[in-house]
Amino acid sequence: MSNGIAIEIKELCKNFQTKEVLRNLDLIVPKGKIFALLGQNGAGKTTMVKILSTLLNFDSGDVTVLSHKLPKDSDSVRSKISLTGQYVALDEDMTGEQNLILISKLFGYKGAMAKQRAKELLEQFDLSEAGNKPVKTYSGGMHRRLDIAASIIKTPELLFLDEPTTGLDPRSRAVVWEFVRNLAKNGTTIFLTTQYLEEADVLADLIAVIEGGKIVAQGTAAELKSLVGRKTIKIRLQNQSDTGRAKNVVHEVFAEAGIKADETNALSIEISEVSQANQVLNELTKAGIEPMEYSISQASLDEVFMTFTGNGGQNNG
Amino acid sequence: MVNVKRPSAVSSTATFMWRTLLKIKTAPGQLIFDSVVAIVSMLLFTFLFGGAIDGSPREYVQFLLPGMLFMTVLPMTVYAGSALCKDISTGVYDRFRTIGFWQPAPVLGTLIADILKYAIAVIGVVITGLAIGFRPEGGIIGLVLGMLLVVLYAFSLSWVFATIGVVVKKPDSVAQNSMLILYTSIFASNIFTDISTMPDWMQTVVMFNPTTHIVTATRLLMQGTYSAWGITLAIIVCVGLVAVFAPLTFALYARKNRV
Repeated sequence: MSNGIAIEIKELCKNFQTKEVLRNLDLIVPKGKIFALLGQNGAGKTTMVKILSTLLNFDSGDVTVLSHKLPKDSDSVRSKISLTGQYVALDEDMTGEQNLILISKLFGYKGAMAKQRAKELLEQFDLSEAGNKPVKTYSGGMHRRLDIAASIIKTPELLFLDEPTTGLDPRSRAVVWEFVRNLAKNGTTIFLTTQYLEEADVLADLIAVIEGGKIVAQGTAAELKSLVGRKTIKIRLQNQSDTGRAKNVVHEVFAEAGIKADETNALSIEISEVSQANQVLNELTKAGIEPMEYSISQASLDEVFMTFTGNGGQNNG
Repeated sequence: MVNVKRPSAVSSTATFMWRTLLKIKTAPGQLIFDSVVAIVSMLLFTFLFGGAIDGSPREYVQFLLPGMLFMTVLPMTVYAGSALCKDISTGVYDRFRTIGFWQPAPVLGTLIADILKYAIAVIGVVITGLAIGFRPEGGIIGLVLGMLLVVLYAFSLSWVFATIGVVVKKPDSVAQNSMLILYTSIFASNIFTDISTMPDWMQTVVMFNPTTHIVTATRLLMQGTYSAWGITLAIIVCVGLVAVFAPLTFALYARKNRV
């Protein structure tokens, strides 16, 4: 019945001493997708990952991972998943190659096979040259790449990535994204947590926003954006000196519309219907103000995030 | 894709032994340092106190050497506990736990591999001892059996520090927390002097220290005058330590950070 479902969580509760971290959390993650759990620091992202990857017990609720119930079937779950935690899970005193051989052996690769698998992965992650150096000499990006390489020694059905690109430079980040996409293409379900909205936006098929131990919003990036409902028309004027007058004109049409002028004097006007954009442009033309260019945009994921987290979360939770 | 099977308990443990041995090979500094300190201490103790304690250094080294072996290896028994603690304090432990191998393997493999360190240090001290006049009356068999007993006790005691290593937060505090146990077990014993020279109350204290019984058994083995009961008692102490602290370490290791 749960064939297409990778993770199913019902009414999950988790407390650390007196602190409630997860409160009656419900979530379904379908198989073969890239799923992003988006949330502020301390929202419960890492706790979720640790519970789902069998590292942490929970207080109550039903958690099913790849059709196996936790915590009863932890061993079956472990044989199908892999985890790249928030903290680098490598032995700093060993070389990159030795680290990969160690993990390969623990997955059941024997002697020469383990060595060969390590070599393949070093090559795949552009670490061949550094393979014989101790990991403590690696840069942040190299650490992360080796860490991820170690996670896919045996291709997992489900891969957890806890903030995989935190602290990475843009180039290393792109390498990680590319790798995640390839892995998903080959059928691995990806469960990643991130505090970067851009990452969720470009990478994830599905996004859930966690706040105060609950999922407060869920859907594709586009669905979440339309949930917020706001649209923005951005207008650049021919003559920057018209900015003040343009503001007045718009106010006469939409008394309550939010208007902002940025440093280049481009106007951003919040609207609720696309048809209102035409009205704004007409009124401006009538007043003799020439728009040089304009664009209509949906709410950004930033706005979604701000709406659902912090104080906004209480209205929607 | 190659079909790989979950490794057996034995091969998982062997993998962790390989990891520990690899570290000795790539960074032998600590082992060399420990061995050199042991050899220098033995020379110092022999020639500094030999005359005062036993009439001459040559006389004293017959008594001191078996004890010196303990003085050498006991501080080394803390390292395995530190290594476990280091794994737990980094993400390595989390990675190990999400892989479905036999979970006590990291603990067992690390502790077993450290036996090699104890053996190397023991051999170093014995060779130096022989060079400065140590002549065990128990012959080669008594000598080797005595050395084996030292190593067995070191392995047994390392389980105590493994337990501490799993409980404390930082690798540095493993050494700190172990210091009291370690120094009591080394100095409140008959490593340096004969128990009959001590006041009665001190004898009682020293007899409570398990190290004392192992030192006595080792000494007698090397002198060739051992009794079956002495050896049995020594082995009971070792087995007892492992029987208590090994299951405790495994259980604490498996439960660590889980709630």
